[in-house]
Amino acid sequence: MSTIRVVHYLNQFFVGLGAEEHAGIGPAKKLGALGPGIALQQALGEGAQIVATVYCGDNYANEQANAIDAALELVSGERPDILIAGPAFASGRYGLACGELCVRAQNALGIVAVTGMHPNNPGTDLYRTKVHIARTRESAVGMGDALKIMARLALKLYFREPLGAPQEEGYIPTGRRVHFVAEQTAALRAVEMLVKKMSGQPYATEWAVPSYSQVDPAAPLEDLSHAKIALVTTGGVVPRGNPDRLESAYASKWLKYPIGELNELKPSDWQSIHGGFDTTNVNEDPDRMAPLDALRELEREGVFQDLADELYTTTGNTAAIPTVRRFAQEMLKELRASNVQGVILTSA
Amino acid sequence: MPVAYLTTLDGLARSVGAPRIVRGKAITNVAGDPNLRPSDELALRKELIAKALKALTTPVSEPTAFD
Repeated sequence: MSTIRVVHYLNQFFVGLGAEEHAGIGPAKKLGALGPGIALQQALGEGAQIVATVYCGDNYANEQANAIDAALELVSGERPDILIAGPAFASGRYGLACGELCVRAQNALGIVAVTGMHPNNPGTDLYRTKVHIARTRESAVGMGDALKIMARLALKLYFREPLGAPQEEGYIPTGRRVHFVAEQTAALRAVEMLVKKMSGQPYATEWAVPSYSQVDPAAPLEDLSHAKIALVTTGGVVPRGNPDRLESAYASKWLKYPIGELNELKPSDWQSIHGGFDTTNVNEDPDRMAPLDALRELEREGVFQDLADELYTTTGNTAAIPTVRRFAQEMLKELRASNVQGVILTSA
Repeated sequence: MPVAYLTTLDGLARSVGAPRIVRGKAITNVAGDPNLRPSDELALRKELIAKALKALTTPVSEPTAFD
């Protein structure tokens, strides 16, 4: 049997060129295994050989439009059977480069591709459904284990051996559902889990609750009396008739409406189209959701200096987290441009 | 940028890590109360917003409720 050809992708740091000062170097290739590739070769065993190492600076890989194309061409030139990228641990730029290169290698070259990342790597969210990602520790202290998992995954995929569950095989869940017949009914399993939980024993959930990335609290306002404040709501408050057709759930957009000349939100002019609660009370008086009247009085009393001239609004229920994260980033950009210093956010 | 979050689902806000939380009146009227006379309702609303403004000026290191 001929030897399986493997190409290994690394960033500038792991090929030994240097850290951030070399993050701008473009894609290049060296023959054979380099850096962590030496241990990867051992993990792969004799049947597979790292024929080349392709590398690229993390900045270059993320900033230059053609960087991944160029790296892919270097990979392709080796006619490999397998691409192994990283592991990138928790390094964001490195993870994004590894994920994108693996996806392209799978799609364009039709080869097996595997990478490795910590679950907090932003590349994990983006690529875990598209490529097998070995679950690693946050930093290179986890190198040894990561390389072994990546080697094992790559060979199993290459030989088309069925993969076990993510926690058994050491990869990050891909979102695929695999059917199997459980030995016990759901009721029995649930009670068993509950008993273990209540008696402090370790147990494994069958459906993990999504975890939300933690946001570091912003520094407080130093001088409220000179601050400009904006009113933001996810309560679906819009001009009556909903002229811009904000969705009542699964919002695809956020909107802003001028309130600079208004002292309150009149029910004849405003309403809530939120689909997640009974809007009767809000539609009697939209200030109950977007409290403009109270903010105006406090502004007049000098508690804070100025209310932003626009109401920022969307619908929060059943929102997709990546979508609303984008909303927040887009709003923040505009709020900063309007010199807003603090936000009152309201929802149900 | 500091954000004070007025919501009646304060437990949920806490569990997803919102740093500055003010508990609203009710899900269907977070910043009001249809049972009150209009002047009293406005006073309630001002009180809630005043709490939120105070939250904006207060340093926090973890999800914190302002009452």
